[in-house]
Amino acid sequence: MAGHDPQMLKGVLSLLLLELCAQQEDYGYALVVRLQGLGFPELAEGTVYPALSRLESQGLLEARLVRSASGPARKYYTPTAAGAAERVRARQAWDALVVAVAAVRTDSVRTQEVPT
Amino acid sequence: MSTALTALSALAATAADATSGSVEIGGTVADLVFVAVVLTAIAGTVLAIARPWELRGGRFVDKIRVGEAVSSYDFWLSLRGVTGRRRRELRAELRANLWEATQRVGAKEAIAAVGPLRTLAFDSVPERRGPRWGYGVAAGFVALEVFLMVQVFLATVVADTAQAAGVPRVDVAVTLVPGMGVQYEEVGEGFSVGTDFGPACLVVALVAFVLVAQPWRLLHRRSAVPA
Repeated sequence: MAGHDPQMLKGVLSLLLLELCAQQEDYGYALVVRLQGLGFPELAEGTVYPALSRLESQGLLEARLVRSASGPARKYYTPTAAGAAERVRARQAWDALVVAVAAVRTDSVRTQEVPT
Repeated sequence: MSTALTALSALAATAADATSGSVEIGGTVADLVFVAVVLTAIAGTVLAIARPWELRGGRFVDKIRVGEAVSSYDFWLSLRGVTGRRRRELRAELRANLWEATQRVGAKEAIAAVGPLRTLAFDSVPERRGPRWGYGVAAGFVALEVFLMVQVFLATVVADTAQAAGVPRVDVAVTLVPGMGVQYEEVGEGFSVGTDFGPACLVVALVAFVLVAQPWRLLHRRSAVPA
């Protein structure tokens, strides 16, 4: 399967991370693995880690440290109340965008089908 | 400068005849102690950043690689102006994530997957609008290092010129730089070379620091409208 458009992916990364953290709190590398398994194989750690830092700085995610038997303590993320609200807003924005794009595509198809 | 260049030409012409000598550096044991202290401080700092004892299991070489990556990330964070607790948190998080990835795919692949550490550091924190203290300190050290190298070069030129000319004692003062000078003296079978740095070296370092750190940005930051 071809990779996703990087610019489009950039636009939805925050929503993806908020969704995953809402489903189950997790730490950076585990979130990368989950995203790669869910159909985003091109998403690399270098993209996800800064996004998590930004979401935390913006107050949309909060973190706690959990001791690990295999190494340093892991930083688990979970959405804050503001993050939950942002997740709802972003979902609605995404749904609206999908509908609008679909409408344009439908109109384009209809225009192409009109005999000249 | 022209004097130095002339002396350098003489040096090149008489290099084969130059007398080798010993240079007194004043307290060899003290210098060795100083070097040992500096190396210990550097090693201690690197270990405190890399914290290899937290990386349980795995290969030793992977621990070194992860520690190195975290140290490099920390360096870029410092240049970005990140300090204290925030910097420790970011370092610890990267260390933990890299180690998790290392246990899956190995350290080389894990580190490659995060991409350039400079980019990771700069993307992880917004650019501060304030002074760039980290860059300023680095620039000050570089300027001081260059100044000292010029001083060492000058001392070498003076020594070789004096030997080539057969002059037993020379006292050179650099008129353009107050307080800066070189003294050469034949001592027994060898010779002694001393240098005076003067306040100029500190001035050079301070000017470089100020020009790069730009402390006047403090004024911009205070007058900026908070987001």
